[in-house]
Amino acid sequence: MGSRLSLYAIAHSSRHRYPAVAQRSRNEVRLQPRKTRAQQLEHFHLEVTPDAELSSSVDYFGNAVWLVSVEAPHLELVITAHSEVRVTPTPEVRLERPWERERLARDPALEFALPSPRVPTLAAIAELARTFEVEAGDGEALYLAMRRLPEHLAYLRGATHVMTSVADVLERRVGVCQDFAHVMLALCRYLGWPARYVSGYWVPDRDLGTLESHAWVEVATPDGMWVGLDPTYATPVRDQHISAAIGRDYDDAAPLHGVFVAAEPGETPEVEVVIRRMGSGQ
Amino acid sequence: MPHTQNMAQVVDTRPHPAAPPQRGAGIGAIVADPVLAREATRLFADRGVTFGVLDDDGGILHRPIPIDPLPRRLAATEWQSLERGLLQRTLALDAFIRDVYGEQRILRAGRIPAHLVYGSPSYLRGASGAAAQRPGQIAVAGIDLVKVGGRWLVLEDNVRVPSGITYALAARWAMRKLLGRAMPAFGAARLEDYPRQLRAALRQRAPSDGELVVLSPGPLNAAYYEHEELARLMECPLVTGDDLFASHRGAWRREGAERHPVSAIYHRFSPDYLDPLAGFGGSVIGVPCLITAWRNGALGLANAPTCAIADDKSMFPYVPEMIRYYLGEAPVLEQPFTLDLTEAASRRRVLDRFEDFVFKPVDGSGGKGIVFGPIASAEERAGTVAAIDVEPASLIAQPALDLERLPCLMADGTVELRRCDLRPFVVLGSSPWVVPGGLTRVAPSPDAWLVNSSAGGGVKDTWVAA
Repeated sequence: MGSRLSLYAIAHSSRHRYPAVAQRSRNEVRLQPRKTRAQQLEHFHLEVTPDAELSSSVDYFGNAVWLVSVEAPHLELVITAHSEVRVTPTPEVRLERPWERERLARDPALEFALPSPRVPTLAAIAELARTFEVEAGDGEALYLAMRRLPEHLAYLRGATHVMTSVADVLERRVGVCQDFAHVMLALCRYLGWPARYVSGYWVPDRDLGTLESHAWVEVATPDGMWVGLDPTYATPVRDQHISAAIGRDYDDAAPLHGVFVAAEPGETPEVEVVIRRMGSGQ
Repeated sequence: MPHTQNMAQVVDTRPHPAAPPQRGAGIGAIVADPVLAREATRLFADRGVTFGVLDDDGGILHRPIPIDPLPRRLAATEWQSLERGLLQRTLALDAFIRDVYGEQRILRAGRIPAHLVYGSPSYLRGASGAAAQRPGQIAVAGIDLVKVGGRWLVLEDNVRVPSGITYALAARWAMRKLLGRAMPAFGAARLEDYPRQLRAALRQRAPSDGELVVLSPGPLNAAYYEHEELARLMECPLVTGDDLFASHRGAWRREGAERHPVSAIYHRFSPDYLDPLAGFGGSVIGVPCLITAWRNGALGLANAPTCAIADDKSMFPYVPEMIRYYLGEAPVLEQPFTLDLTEAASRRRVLDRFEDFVFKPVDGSGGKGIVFGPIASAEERAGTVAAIDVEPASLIAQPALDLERLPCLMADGTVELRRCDLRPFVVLGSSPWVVPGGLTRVAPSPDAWLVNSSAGGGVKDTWVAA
């Protein structure tokens, strides 16, 4: 994979249908690609129907959050995030030397080494680590765990949903990228490494078009770097991932999180992601 | 008439209007007359001074709160030292809140274990940002004090939604009624400035000149009496979540077809229930965007939602460290030591001497789940020992303290000693103010250890010599 600069256009659209008229709705959107050394954000805008008021802020984890407020009664809400992102390949950083306990205890990265609401401490994770023959120690254990995970869990669309617990995923041995990321986070933390959830997109080499949103993890090194590992594809993150939000787990980084005022609960939104390559620079 | 020979505070000479008692601590006197007890009870019942308790069907029953007519009296010098300590503590807690939502200097310095903050369910990340950096995250603090063997100790810091001030105000009102024209002679420092002070602190936090409102979870809340009373005294509309709506630009109160801009809210919600969008565990009650409006500087919230972290019981052992770290001062107030039961040595210690300790769940309030070693039943003891074994992080242990017992007048005229604590209130307005005295809570029987209103406790007036 030689050096290349790629520019991608992403349209991420979610359609919410309300069975009863929503008098008002408020949605938090975490779909603006992050600005990092590996990716530059060339353009971003949200398109919303019906008319909505938009405002942006930065959350605890540094994510750009767009608040979409609809004041008029509506039966449907469509939010489309349009982004243009330039991806720059960066030299791969290997996870090697482990954290010293005392050092981690005072480092802000500790926050990502502790259990989180969606990634609690589970005996099943210790068991999984034994199955994978990995132990706390240097970074090699993480690469091994990452490679073993897709052999252990079947990627099965529709078998889980956004609220499925890690315990349930481990018991049924099925899941999608979100579940793979949660199990990987639990393994990293069990092995003594701070790890965070990343939501974003995976860009295949070819056959772009209608795709999906994606999730993977990043692991903190003792010298302050974050190294991406994608347990769904069993690969370190290089230049095929575009990140939109980070957090301790899915709940912190959820692409959409909203409330509406209506007589009946809503349905799961329909999501469509279209990615086009806009050509390579240079 | 029954006398109380052993109590210096209570003597049996009625203040005669013709010869008013002299001003000054210890000089004023109240008669231990059973009529006083019955009258006090009637005054509270007539005025509707109630506290909600769960009834058998899981509903809420607003019960008149017991009132004792014998005030606790504090000497001016004793109070001055408490006042200094309370203010110091509140300012250190406020600095701590801003720090953990900002640079986290105290965590990097290793002065407080970082995992306690990061792992706390009271660390509300959705409240972070510039608004969390403004001094005065705490608008009002209620700090529980107890007197043990002549020494004052801090037992708890309430900065989430400190409650109880209106019970102190009602107790003072009742004493004025009971003592009539003799009351001024006792020289008790006034508390009645509280609503004005809190209103001023709220106005200070308001970014515009819109309305100030009191936000209550509603009549099902145990302290609903207090919410109504504060709104009345502060001359603010009392609202529930349904009356408000918010966006990133601010908050509004609905009244029929009208919408009134709201500039600051004194709320009585646990902060994790204020805003269902703020990501505090999937709550659907509260007002969407309320915290967003606050984060954007478009709305004042008292107390700020960030305060919950300083109210977490696992932070309590580190408050003296906060005082030293942020203020560079020695703590004025003492506090009992707390044992971390995740440590094997601490577990051995409390299991060896169970009867010397009190066990508190880390996330409890209102005395719920507290087990007192000295009076624990065999069942309570077995349950606590099991919890220490299985989930040692879920509770802490502190030495069981035999709180000072103050004389209380019964309806039959007898005087009983009951355990009491004291909850003073600190208001951080443009200049910080400590309510002289505060709320003295009284245990419901001579043997009871818990003074909480939810455990049937009552109140008595607190007189600080002016």
